[in-house]
Amino acid sequence: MKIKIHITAVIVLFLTLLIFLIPIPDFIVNYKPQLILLVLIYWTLNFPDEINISYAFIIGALSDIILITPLGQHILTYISAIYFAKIFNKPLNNNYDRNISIILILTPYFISSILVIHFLKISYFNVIEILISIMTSILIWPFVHKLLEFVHRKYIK
Amino acid sequence: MLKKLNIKIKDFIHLKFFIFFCFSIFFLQSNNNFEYSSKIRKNFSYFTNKIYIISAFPSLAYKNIYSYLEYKISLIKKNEKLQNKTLIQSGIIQQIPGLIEENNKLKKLLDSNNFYELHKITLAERIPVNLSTYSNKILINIGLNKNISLRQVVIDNNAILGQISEVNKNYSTVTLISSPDHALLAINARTNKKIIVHGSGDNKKLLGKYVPFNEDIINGDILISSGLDNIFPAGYLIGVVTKIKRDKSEDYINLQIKPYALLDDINKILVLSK
Repeated sequence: MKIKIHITAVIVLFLTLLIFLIPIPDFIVNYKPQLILLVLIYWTLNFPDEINISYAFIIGALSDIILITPLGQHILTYISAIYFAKIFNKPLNNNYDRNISIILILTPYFISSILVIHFLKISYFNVIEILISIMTSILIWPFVHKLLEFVHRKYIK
Repeated sequence: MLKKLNIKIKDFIHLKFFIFFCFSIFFLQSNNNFEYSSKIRKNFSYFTNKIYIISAFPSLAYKNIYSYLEYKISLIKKNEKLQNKTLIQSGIIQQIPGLIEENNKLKKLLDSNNFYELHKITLAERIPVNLSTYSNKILINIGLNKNISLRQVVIDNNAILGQISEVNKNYSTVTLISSPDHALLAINARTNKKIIVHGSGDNKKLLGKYVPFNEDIINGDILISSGLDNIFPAGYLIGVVTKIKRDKSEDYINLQIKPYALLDDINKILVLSK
């Protein structure tokens, strides 16, 4: 069972990374949702014992290598969000709807993004663009959740 | 509140987070001019190249299907247009020997050195993948296999695009002139005065900084590469001045420059080598 979870999670994350690389029109490129992070969050919320913070670290490093960003940029933002999702996993699952949980989980992502940009000294940095990217992630979350739920039911349970 | 939220400390998660957090901060801090990341990326280049090829497949397939299904009439029109363009360009090329002769004579008279150099050109194609939003980088399909080296200049059919910032076996990374980490020394073609052109992060505009307050500059001034930075060869088009902001509280003028190169719509590019 555990191996099945790991294999499914790795395959889905890899496919998400490939989808994330597919070119999209330039005017929406700055607002694209954080698909890889959303998939990571789904697996963390559903399998907190199996999908741990090491996953976030490895996927973050892989994203940095493939997306040609300075090493550490995606690692920091992903581990912050997954750490939050993991330590508040039970209260989030018990007290809130998943669509609200995602807003709370993406908050540390936003804060760490600002921290990263401070480190990289990106002068043109636009908070609004990051916020819109988070908004699109929140909007797309129900669909991602449904799709991953389907995969989850079909291949794991 | 913690009791209410039912938080449990287990699996050393806090320790793990702390270690990974320190790692990422260390990576970010030690990442001087992307050198560290580049080295790691180079080791994974075989693997990443395969990922790029798979990700580029849908876009390449669409392009191929589209060109296959393109109407004959539009293809004939396109062909006619290109033939006319080639004819005009060959007319211009015919003038070059005469210009070189005249130029040599003038150089002898003025006793000056060579300003413009001729470069070897290698054709490359962009790998259609969507990289990070804030990186202003593109990937091209040639690398060490075509003797590409670091800091080679890349142009399109209009103007300077950027320079090679990472070279791998089968692909290279180009940092565009719109990248905020990038700057080059330009010359105002009208006045011959030097201007430092910075990237803004936005592919549609470049910035001119540290221009003296009393500088003679007007909207529509064309900027060309100066060749003084020892990277970009002299005489290539960069952009046109579109906005001049004179702030009396500062000693400098801020310029907004529209790049001539189509940084948003890059397909085929030329790599210059000496």
